[in-house]
Amino acid sequence: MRTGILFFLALSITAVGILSGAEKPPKAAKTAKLGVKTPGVQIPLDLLKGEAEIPIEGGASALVFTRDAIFASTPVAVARIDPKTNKVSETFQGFKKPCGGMESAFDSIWVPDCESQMLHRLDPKTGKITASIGAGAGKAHTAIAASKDSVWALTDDKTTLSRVDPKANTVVAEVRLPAGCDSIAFGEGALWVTCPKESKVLRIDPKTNLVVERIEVASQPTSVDFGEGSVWVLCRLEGKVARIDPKTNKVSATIDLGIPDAEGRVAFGEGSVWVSAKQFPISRIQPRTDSVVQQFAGDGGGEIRTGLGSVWLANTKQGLVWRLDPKRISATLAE
Amino acid sequence: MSFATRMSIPAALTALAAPAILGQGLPATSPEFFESKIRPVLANNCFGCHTNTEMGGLRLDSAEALAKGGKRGASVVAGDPEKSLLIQAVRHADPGLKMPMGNKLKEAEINDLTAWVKAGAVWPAAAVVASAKSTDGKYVIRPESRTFWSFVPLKEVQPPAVKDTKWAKTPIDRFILANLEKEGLKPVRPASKRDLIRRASLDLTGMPATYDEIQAFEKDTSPGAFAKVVDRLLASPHYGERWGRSWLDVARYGEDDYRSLDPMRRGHNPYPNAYLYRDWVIQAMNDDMPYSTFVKAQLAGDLMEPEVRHKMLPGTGFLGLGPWYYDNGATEITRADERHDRVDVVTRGFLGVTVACARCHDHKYDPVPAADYYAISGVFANTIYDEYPMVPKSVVDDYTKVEDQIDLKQKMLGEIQQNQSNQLSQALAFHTANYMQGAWEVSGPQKKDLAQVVEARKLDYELLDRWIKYLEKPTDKYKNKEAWQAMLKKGGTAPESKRLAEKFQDEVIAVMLKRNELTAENKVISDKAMVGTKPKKRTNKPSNFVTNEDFCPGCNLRLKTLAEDQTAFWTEIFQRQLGESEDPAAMMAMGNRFGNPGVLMFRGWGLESRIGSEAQVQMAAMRKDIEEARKKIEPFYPYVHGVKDAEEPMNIPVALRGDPFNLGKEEPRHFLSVLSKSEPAAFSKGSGRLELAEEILAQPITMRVIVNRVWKAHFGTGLVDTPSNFGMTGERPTNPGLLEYLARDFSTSGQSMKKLHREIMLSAVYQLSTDNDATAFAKDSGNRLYWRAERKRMDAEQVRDSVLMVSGKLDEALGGPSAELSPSMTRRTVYGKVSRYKLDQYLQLFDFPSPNISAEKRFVTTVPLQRLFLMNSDFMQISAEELAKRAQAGANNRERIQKVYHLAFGRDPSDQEVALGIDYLSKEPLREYEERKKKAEADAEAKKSKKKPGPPGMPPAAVSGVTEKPAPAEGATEEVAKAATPEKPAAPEMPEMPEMPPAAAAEMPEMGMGMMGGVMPGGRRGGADAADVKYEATAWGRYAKILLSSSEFLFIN
Repeated sequence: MRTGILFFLALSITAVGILSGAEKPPKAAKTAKLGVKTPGVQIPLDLLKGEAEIPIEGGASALVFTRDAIFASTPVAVARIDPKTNKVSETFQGFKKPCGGMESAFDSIWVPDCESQMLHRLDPKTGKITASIGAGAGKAHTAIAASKDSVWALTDDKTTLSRVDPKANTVVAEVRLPAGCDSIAFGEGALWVTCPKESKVLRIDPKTNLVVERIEVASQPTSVDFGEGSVWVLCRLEGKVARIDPKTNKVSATIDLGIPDAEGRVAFGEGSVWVSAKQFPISRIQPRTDSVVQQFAGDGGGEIRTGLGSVWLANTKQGLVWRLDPKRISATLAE
Repeated sequence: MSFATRMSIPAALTALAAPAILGQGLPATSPEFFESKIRPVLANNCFGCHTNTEMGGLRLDSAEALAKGGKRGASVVAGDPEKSLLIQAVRHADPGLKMPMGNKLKEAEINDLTAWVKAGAVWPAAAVVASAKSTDGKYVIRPESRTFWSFVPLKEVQPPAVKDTKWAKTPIDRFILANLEKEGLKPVRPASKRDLIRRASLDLTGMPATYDEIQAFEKDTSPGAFAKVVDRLLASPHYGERWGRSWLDVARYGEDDYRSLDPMRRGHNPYPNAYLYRDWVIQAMNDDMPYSTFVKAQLAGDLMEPEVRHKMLPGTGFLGLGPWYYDNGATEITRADERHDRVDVVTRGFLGVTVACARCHDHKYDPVPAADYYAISGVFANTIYDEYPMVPKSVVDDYTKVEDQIDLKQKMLGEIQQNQSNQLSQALAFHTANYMQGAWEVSGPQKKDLAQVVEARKLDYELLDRWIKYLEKPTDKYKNKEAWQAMLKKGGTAPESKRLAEKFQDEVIAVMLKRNELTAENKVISDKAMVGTKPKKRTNKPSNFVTNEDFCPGCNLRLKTLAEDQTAFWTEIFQRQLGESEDPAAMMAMGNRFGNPGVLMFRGWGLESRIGSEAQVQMAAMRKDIEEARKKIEPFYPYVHGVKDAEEPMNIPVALRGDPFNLGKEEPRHFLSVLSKSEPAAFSKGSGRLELAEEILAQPITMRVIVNRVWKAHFGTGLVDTPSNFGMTGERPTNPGLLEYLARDFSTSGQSMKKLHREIMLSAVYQLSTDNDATAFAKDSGNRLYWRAERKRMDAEQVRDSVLMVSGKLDEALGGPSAELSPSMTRRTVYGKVSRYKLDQYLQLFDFPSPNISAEKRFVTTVPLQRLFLMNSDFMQISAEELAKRAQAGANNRERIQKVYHLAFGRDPSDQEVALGIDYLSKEPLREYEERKKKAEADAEAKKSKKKPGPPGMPPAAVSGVTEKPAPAEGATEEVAKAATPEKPAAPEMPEMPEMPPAAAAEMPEMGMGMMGGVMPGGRRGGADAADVKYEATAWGRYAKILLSSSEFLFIN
């Protein structure tokens, strides 16, 4: 709880214009004691120029993509961002309290709603809710993912994983996971779930709905994504990213971010693993070397996603979504 | 006498002693006197003939009936035993009137009856035997039937006043104490904190408290310390595992049934997803699902509101997991038996009423007419097995599509093979004479070599061999072979054999053609009769068929057949050899259901090798195609074994005397008459399952039954110790007020099981010690008044789980498919397989109930095999070694002993215990060394004198293959340690393992020895895998095993 407050306090003092592109004198990183110590890796966030800064009313807690749009969940609605104009083109109502992330799959945007305890299915073109499934909704960070034939969601605070048939819009199975599991992702034909209390990542086989592996990782895994044939897991307590080889179900590398209590998110895309954590809104990991190659220090951090050729970073408190060019990020070097 | 044995004696006496104690000193006019002294005598000795049967015109089930009497007049004259025929009869005073028939009551029982009559023969209003028939034969529920104690509405009961106002902590205690004070008894002292937390932990989670937990509790002196413990335990996911299992006893949970032994020779096919129901029950307990939802989901989860339906579907496994029976006999009987199971488990499990007794006749004691049985049974007649996929429909469709294609191809392949086989056999029929002459050349006087004959006559070697054997085999089923065999007997000549062979060939062709003709005619008959009949697809699912006609359309048609002898003749030539008996069961027992093929019948490779290369290639291609498709198919998806309503629900008729072929009036589906306010309304929604569930939940008896089950699980005995029978023949509550209080509280406060546990466990009575009190014991040896806590032996699950836990090997993962119980299976016992046809032997050994029928309680037996299990089983050996390993970090043996005590008992050892341990650990390795040395010498001596060394002295572990290598005791020199391990002492010959008798072997093969490895004859053959026994038995391990086998570990104070 205390950590969360600190996090938001840190966010609240973030300057809105940091990434606006305006030329400002670079600020010295306040967090020199933290982060990766390899020379040249830590870069003041002020040096990074964003492509766009998109205000979202109430802030965006989750971002998903369709072929031609970005969708951001706000505290009460879902906003559609036009990537051509980098502006919110529409805001879709009908939600009470979107929570636990979103998923774009089966030509729909899937939005869990913590207040109505429904899993809403939104038509991305019309913005209409085409189905509301009484699956429930939990408070997990990223409570929803999709496999080739199903939508999976953590649908209560007892960590019930529900499997939804997108053709029938019904829950077809429920799997009870250990209490407190709070992030899911799909990859390599399996569902991957982080369980911070047990410091384990569960592998679930969608063919059987069974937990087939319990993989021990560093303490408190809280966020997971899949890419480059690996499962990437942000482990909060020691600020590490565990790389799991799905072929062996073993941790093949553990990458130290140097950020203890790294409340944040991990995402894969554009050839890199991206981590957003407090005081280090962007850490970039190169999968080839399993090392942090860039770490932008400064205020901010929140949801981070890649899509439509960009890196998208949400700052909930500031009510902003930043669009970043991954090539520009790579080219932004330490002084 | 072992401690365990001593413990069992009071328990065994309980049932005998309790009524006597409870009836002592009661006035003969009191209802309690009637219930404890009179009714049981009447019920056990008289009601069999003198209720509905009215033998001699006499009923003995109400005051009116007694006064009215029978043919001889009034049976009881109130106040005057001497004039009462009942008393004369039981005294055997009149030689012509001795009752009960062929028996005499005990003197005490006669005295009680006499006292009761003398006191006015008071028959309490609520105790009227509740059934009666009106003059027109229709069953009438008397108003007083509805006032039977367990049927009446729940009353609000105030806890009684007590003299000792300090002892009681909760209202429960006042009910208990009031009863004790009435008997002049006092509760014993409270349990020690260690005993209490251990008891609570085992009660709620099935595993003992750890040393640290005990320490923390002992140090916590706050008033709410125990409440904190209880809350922690109730929040543990292991709570659901413990209490879920307790419900699974009632639900007769099993993962297979006899039907799983597939008659189509596909082996043992248990229900693959049975665990989903088990996990659902565990989860429901952990989630503290309200009891009403819990009940409703199990009876009608598929019919519940759409918002919750998906959560409740696994609950329908209560009905969906059977037991189901084969569809291979009279389907009507099969279905009736299945319905009977459902009626029984539902009515006893939820209602505590033995409705199943009314299958063949009106219930003898309770007001349940047979019509009510069929009204409930009708609900289940319309409840059919169904599978609910737990994957999206697209997955199911993809699977089904490929599966259907495979089935189709398989069917085509089968048809092609059948056609090929028919064509081949018919073609071969025209070569009969040639083969018979060849046979004569081999078997007749010429005795030619078979190979030569084959060569000379251009015959098929195997076919000639078949003909020879066939022709030699005597038969009395037809006469066609007689002439040939007569000829063969006297030798015969070539022309004679040629003539007879040609005649026989004509007969073979004739019978073949006639049979073909009849088959064509029968097809026309069948096609005409079956117009519009679409046969149901044969699946491996249960309850697909309602009638035999449904199961086998057309099987009842009268089709044309050959004469009996010609049928037999045709069969032996074209189909299969006839055995001595044509009983299919006997054929199956012979291990070949279809028998050996007829002379001209070829299957499989025998067929293919005779039909030419082109056909061979064709069939090989088809087979390959099928194999490829099989490889591509996804693994079978998970699904719930549940139930659904029949599409067109219908009532079923009453089966007269229980015979499903002797049917009476159709009975609408409805609830039990006696539990309905008036004439029960017919169910109108589908099968009526949901309405049935709602009716059950509206009954006060339902609440009484469940709170009593929970109480019994905590205290060892129920307030009613017949937990599934709250009817006339069931026990009356020993503390009616308390039962009423608990039931009402439960029903009005959310039906929360956890709340009920909490309330019970925070009472002073739960927290009593197990101390004895001579006065109380003399009055109430069965402890039915709860003056102390009952010392209980751990049950099967507690023993295994606790041993695993203290050994540090317990895998605490929740849920998932079941596994065979074995030493290498380290999950909790609730995740072990539960087989209805072959229950695990370990479970049986420790009194696990049969999963074939709803179990109201677990009986406790004490048998020598239990001790042998603790001494010799691989499981105990391995666990003890693991426990010992956990203590090895200690600096010295004193510290290690202390650690083992912490782990096993949760306490420090006394100085004496430490000394004993050190003594054992220093002497045991040397003693073993001496024994081994002597044995090695004896073996060597025996070898010299060529005598086979016998098994005496061979430690059991060595016999079962365990490596014996005693660990050196602390301080033992390396030399001693080395010497203790004999240097391959002339490889002592292992005694031969006794051969398992064939019957036993037949039972074992698939199940393996499992947990019984190391105990049962046969060692661990086919049982525990190699990984199970990779350890070295050490002195420390044996020491740890002694502790794990002790009463302190295995009993719960």
